[in-house]
Amino acid sequence: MNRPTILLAEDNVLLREGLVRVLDHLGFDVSATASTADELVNRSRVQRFDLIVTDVRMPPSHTDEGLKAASRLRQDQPDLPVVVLSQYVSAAYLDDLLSGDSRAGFGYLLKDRISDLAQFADALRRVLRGGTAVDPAVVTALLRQRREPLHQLTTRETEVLAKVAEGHSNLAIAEELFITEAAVVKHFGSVMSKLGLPPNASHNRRVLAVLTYLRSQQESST
Amino acid sequence: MVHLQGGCRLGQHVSTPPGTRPADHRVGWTTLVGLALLLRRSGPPRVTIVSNAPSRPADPPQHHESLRVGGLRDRLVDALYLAGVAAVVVGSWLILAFLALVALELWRPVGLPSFALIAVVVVTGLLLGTVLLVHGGLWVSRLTWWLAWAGQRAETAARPRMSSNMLHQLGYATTLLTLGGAGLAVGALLAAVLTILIVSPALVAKDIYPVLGPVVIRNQELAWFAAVLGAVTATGTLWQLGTLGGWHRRYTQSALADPADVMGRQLADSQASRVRLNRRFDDERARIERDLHDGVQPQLLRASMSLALALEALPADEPARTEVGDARDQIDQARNDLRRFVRGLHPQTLTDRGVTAALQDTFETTQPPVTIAGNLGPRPDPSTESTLYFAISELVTNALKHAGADTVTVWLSRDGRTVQAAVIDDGHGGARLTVGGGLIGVQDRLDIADGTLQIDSPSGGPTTVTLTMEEARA
Repeated sequence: MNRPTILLAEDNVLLREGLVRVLDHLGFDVSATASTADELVNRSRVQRFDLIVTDVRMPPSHTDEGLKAASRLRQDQPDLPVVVLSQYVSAAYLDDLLSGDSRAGFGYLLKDRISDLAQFADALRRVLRGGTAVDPAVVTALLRQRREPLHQLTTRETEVLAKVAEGHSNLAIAEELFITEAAVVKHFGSVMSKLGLPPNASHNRRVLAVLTYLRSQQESST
Repeated sequence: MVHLQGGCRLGQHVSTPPGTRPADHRVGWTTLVGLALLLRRSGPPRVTIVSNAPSRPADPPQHHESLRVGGLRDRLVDALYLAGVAAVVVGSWLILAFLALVALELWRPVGLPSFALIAVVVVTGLLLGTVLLVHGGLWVSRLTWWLAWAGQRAETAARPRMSSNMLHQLGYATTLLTLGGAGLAVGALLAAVLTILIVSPALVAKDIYPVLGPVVIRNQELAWFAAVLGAVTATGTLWQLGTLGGWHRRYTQSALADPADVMGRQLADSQASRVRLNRRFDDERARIERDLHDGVQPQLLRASMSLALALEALPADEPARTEVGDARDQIDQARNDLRRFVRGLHPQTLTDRGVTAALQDTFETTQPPVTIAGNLGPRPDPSTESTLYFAISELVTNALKHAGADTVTVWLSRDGRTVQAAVIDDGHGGARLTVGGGLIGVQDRLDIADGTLQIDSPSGGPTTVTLTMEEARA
């Protein structure tokens, strides 16, 4: 089986080198690295990669340039999956990834997650397949910030909603919560109708709908 | 010869205590300096004028400019100032003497008149004299004040208003005319002595032997020695005139300044310095955050990755797995702690996304829940954002800790350049500004940014703390 090629953008040498080793160990091929946001954009334009992994904070301004570059790339190449790594939990960063109409998968993970190799690899593969991977801490933050409309959900429904928002498949959720896949579908359907979201055939679209809902509720109330 | 001897005797009289043989010039010089010091320390309460460079806090510090100590130009200007003041003093005394002479001349033809006439003349003379003296005194002050500020470099100091207190000005003029006059007399004496010293070789060549106190310059060797001594002293004294002028100028500047005006300037200056200081604190916090982000945090993360890889490589039955796993967990714990600390320093979200997002991140997991609502509109400048964020954080933390509330709401709004945040809790109320309390810290922060804090907290609640501040001008 071909090792998926990765363009890794990380300005810190130590972390870049560590990430290369981790990704290599997990069966990915880091075929190029970038240490600035501009370099990231330029490299991804001349060569085709299976996946982009980038840090949020990049030189020269050391703000969220990596994230900005990632969302620019998603607009230019709508089928390019992108994983953004962040030092901090901030649901606000999600907006850049949710905006636009990219069909490809995306991930927003805390750097903490890297040292849990199995979880990290699972998230990367999910994004490669066109899914989403949102860090559990970010989802928790989203759910906490929007307490009001989520009040009407049962505990189980909230659990399912969180797992869906993180990007897990129905099967994975069922295994993790020790329930049947049919029960997951039922709970999630109930969540969608309680939140007034249209039931949709594609799982991925539903994930996006949920994330957008959680963020947009946030925005409209602030 | 007679004239010369007179001059020399004068020198002897003033400057040489009996039984000692100090060089004349030295006594004269120290007397002059002593007088200058005396002059510096007398008079109305001293007000120091602080250099008041235009306070644009964003600018790099400029003190090296204003602290630059006098070069040749400054010395020259100060010496010229001193000459100007001397001219004022001499002129004043000349006018006084002239007036006295005129008065005497007017008096003479009157002869021996009746008591009534004497009374009328005395009263008129006194009144006229007083008016003249007062006006003269005021003019002396005004002239000296003008001299003191003439030729000052623009960046040295802003010119305060002159004191409008007449007694103040007259007091200064009297001190200047009396002590300054005495100083001038001593100076003139010194100048005479030095001149004699310098020209003594020529005098001795013509068989004129100057007498300076107990010393009589009676041969050419002594005369040349005296000339060199005189020349060196004269040069030194002339050079020091700049210093003396500088002292006196600064004294005049502070003695005649309007204290209220000076105080106002100092206050404005101190306010500007507080703003700069606060900005420096903010910058410093951001720098520490950056250093940790670029240094310790990646190092810990890298170690954690290595341990994770090691854990993968170790066989399942390897006893060391537990140790390696523990090490990784401990490093992760340290990273968590560090992250919380860094967030308190300066949240990255504040820089990237502004106040609302940063507040949401900070208070997303609190119990009771904190709701961030309202709209700040376009993002304010970084300094305003930082003040807003930290002030609101403090208020919310305060409410969470002490109010016993079920809900805390932050309402953000903007009206033009005015941004406002209300922190509302449904707790038991009774919040007060107390020394050492959280609210006073917020008040201090807002003071610096010219913001205001309004507390509405009746006993039994609810509490609304409203902070209002102007966005800094770009």
